[in-house]
Amino acid sequence: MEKLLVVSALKDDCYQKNAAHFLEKHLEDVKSGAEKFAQMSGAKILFLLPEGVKAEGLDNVRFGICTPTGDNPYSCAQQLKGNLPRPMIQDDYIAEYEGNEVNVITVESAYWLAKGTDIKHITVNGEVKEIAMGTKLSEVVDAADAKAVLVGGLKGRLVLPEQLGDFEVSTDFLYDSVDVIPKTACIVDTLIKHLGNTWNYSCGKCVVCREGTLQFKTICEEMVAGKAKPSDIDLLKEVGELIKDGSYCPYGQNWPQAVIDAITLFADEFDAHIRRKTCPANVCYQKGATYVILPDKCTGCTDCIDECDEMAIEGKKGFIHMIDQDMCESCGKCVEACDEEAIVIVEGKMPKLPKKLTRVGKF
Amino acid sequence: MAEVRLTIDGRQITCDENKTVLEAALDNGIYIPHLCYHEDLHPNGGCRLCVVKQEGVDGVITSCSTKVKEGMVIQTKDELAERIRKLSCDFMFKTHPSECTGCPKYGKCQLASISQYVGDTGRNLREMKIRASADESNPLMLHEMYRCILCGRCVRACGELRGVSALKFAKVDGRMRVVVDGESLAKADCRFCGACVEVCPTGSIRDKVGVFREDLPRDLSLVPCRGECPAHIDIPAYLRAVNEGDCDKAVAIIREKVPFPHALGLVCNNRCEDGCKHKDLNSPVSIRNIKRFAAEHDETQSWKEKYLKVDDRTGKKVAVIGGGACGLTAAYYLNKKGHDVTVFESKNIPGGHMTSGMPEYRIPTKAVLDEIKVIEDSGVQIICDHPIDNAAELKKEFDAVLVAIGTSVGKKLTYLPGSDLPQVYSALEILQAQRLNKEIDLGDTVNIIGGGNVAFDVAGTAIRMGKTVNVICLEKDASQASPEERDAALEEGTNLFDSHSNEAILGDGKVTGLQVHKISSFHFDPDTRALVEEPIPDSTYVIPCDSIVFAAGQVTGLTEDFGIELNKFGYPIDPSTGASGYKTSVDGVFSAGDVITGTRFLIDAIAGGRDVASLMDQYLGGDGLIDETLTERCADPYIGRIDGFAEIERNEMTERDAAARKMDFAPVSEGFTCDQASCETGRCLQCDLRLQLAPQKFWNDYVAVGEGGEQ
Repeated sequence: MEKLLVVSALKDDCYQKNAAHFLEKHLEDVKSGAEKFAQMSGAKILFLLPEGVKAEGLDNVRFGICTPTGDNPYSCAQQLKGNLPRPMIQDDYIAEYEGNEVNVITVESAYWLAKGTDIKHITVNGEVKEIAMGTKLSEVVDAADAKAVLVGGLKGRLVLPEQLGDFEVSTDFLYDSVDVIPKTACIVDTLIKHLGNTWNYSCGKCVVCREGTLQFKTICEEMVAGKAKPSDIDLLKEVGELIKDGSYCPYGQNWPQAVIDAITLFADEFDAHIRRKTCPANVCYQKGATYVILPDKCTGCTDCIDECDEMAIEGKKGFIHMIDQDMCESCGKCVEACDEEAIVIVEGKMPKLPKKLTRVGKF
Repeated sequence: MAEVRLTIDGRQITCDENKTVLEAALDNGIYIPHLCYHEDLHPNGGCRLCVVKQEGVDGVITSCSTKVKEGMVIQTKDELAERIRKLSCDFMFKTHPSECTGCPKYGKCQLASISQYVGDTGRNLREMKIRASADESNPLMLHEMYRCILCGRCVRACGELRGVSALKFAKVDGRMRVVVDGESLAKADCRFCGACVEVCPTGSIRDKVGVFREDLPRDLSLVPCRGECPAHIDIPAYLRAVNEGDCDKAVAIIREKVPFPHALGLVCNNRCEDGCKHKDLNSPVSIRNIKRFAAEHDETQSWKEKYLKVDDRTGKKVAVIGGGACGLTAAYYLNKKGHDVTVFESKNIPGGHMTSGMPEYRIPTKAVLDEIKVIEDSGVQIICDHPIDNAAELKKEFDAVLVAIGTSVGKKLTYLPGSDLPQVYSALEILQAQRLNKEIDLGDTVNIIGGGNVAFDVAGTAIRMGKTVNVICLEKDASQASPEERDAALEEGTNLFDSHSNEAILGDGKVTGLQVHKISSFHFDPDTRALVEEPIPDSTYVIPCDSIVFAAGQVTGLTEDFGIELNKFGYPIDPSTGASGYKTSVDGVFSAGDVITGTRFLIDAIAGGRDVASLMDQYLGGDGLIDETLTERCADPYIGRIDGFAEIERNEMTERDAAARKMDFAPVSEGFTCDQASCETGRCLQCDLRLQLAPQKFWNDYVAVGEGGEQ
């Protein structure tokens, strides 16, 4: 079988832009590295680039979508055939495309082959930096005011700024990006966006990654809609660990860690979202904050009770109505239903409210 | 083939080095749950159910995609592995409809079976039902992808196994789905082989209800052409052989079931084509014409050596009365089974209706005699001009007797005044006279009474004899006949008098005409079978003619003198059932073919001949097994993609112009050209390929194997 060497620039994700940088700044090095590699096996070279990337000066170019499995030969062969990428991880498996045996080299490996391994490219907050081996991440990123740092993007970890010194750049460094999460950010909100990306980049081949990303994204979304339960935290941790063990490819084996990191490091913030339905960073729950029924204004008419879809309002005719904060979705429909203007959003201190059913006028 | 030893769940196992851990376990009755694995497909590793613990390796390994290695120690019931399986099951069930009982796959669903085995954790995961509606647009297969759990077996079967890739993965609203790669299956160049249905573990991709018969065994039901054929000829196999340009092989395959490939290729009523699934796409594959093509291009007859080989002689003697298709078929198989067979034919030529009951231009005598010659070459003795008067008497000289005399006497409607005039004939008399070169006085104009296929056979024959031909029948448009045969005769100049009823044959010592009237409707009384008609008043007139032919059916012509019990219509009966059957009232005397079924089609007679031969062989002490294999099968499952496959039109044979063909008795068509045969065989959906796929198994199937092995 003829050999085909695919030079893949598809291993980027939404956090890292290293491949585009290699193509833009180090194209000659990438080409010569790839040629060196191809000569060893007598392979033809084909460049597989993300859609939209300029390919001037390259002969045999095809386009695909960025994927965590952009370095897997079967995954690349699938893209060449016009299919969605999905990896094949087997000792003796030979990926095939148009009768050729497909081998893959990433643009980074090609670059290293040409230039040696002195420099590692890392995308820091969206900008590609060339970093000397041996450098500690704490020297690369200024994280003094950060809440946390996402090291390695979709396949990475979430760490506190003071942990950055533990990461030293080397050739087998697993992480290609560093993103600082500012103090003002809500960790739950950040995680939801992160999980949206994680889900999007899951190739869908294996059940636990495909369904796990969707479940995690959905459960975290429920945390800011007041629907999640305190037990969901343990659920995420337990299932997250199992997904790490049970996933087919390194992507699935790695992405749950950032989620576990987040809920471990910022347990209080998650708790606030789930139990108290508040966002300490004031990012989530902006739609209605906390609603209460003022006991001196409520006439016990039950109009708001009828209006509430969540059955979150307790009371009966002639008794002061009360909102069960655990059930309230902050939709605000009760406010409109109340003719007495008795239902308000609390800002700051909670007013004194009845704890049990109390007749109107007796509180 | 080197072997390796490994330990699975404490059991020492030796197996081929190319096996995977999963295969090694399953082969030895150790069940590891699996869903995306299918023994005919490349391992995928996606379902995560087959994960197991390998000693010395962190975490778990994927057993379906890990090859066995010497000294491996595997635990299938490892705690982590079981937790991962349960999680995978939990996840899949959150996307799958929760109600099983309403699903057509209920009881045959691999997902349900696995979840039963793996169990449920009751985790508070979220419901993730798939919002997809059922797609019933295709006439053969239906997609209910809201049941899909994305094992990808259909995609791999279609792509890897068939090379078609009509199905693919795509993200729909961000979620992975299996979709058709085009507007419809037809537009996606689907070859409709059914592999996707066969491998789907759930009820997501299914055959539409009614596409396959449920009253047949699997190998006949899933290959409807073969199922519909009374002799169950392996049709897809011989179409494939013709497609590969190997007509000898095709004929060998046909001959495994029937000794008259050419005759059938010419005149079979092709019920196989009624079964052909292609009819739901546009029109059925032209199977009969391909059979004719194969028989006419069978140059080396490479099957002959095996075909003529017969079993050791048993010393038993069998007499077959009637040298038609049924009798000769039975004779061939009985001779093959080692019995000495003598066929007694009353006419001067064997072949029955094939040589004397159908027109020459539909089935040339030479074609039939060539095929009969093969039967004689195999050792069957045929004695012509030898009518048998009494089957019971004959039985005294033979160990077994078969009555296969067919229905060789044409009926005349004797209640019609004038039916005793000399120029009044039955259809068979005309056809036989022409085929056997006998003189017959038809005059210039022939009136044929009857509206079935035989009426038009006579019409075509009389036209070729240079006569003016009128067909008079009760049915509007002669709807009893097949439209092709009717139209062919009309094109050749036959005059049709439909919705006509007969009053009398006119003539004084010589036929001069037929007195008829028109009718507006008619039916037969269900009790008395008498004709009840609605005449149009004052419509009586005379159609002048010189002769009358009754094409009003045929009878056996048997009487009690024949020595076996008959019913009131002259058909032999089996006293144990009271109806006609393969057995008769005399032990050792059998009956088959038209003589028990009434006039049917050639293929029915042949199928009857096969069945009765098997029965008679058993009567004579044999095993009754008459199936033979004359050639190997090697169907390539990789059928590849063909642009616009579903829309390729059926090929039709080029026929000679009516004006030319009515001048002689040569065949109406030369048959398919090589290109037509190649194109037409290429239209075959190859339904039989589906039988190559391993049937779906459930966990109890494997455990049962293991227990059996240990005993």
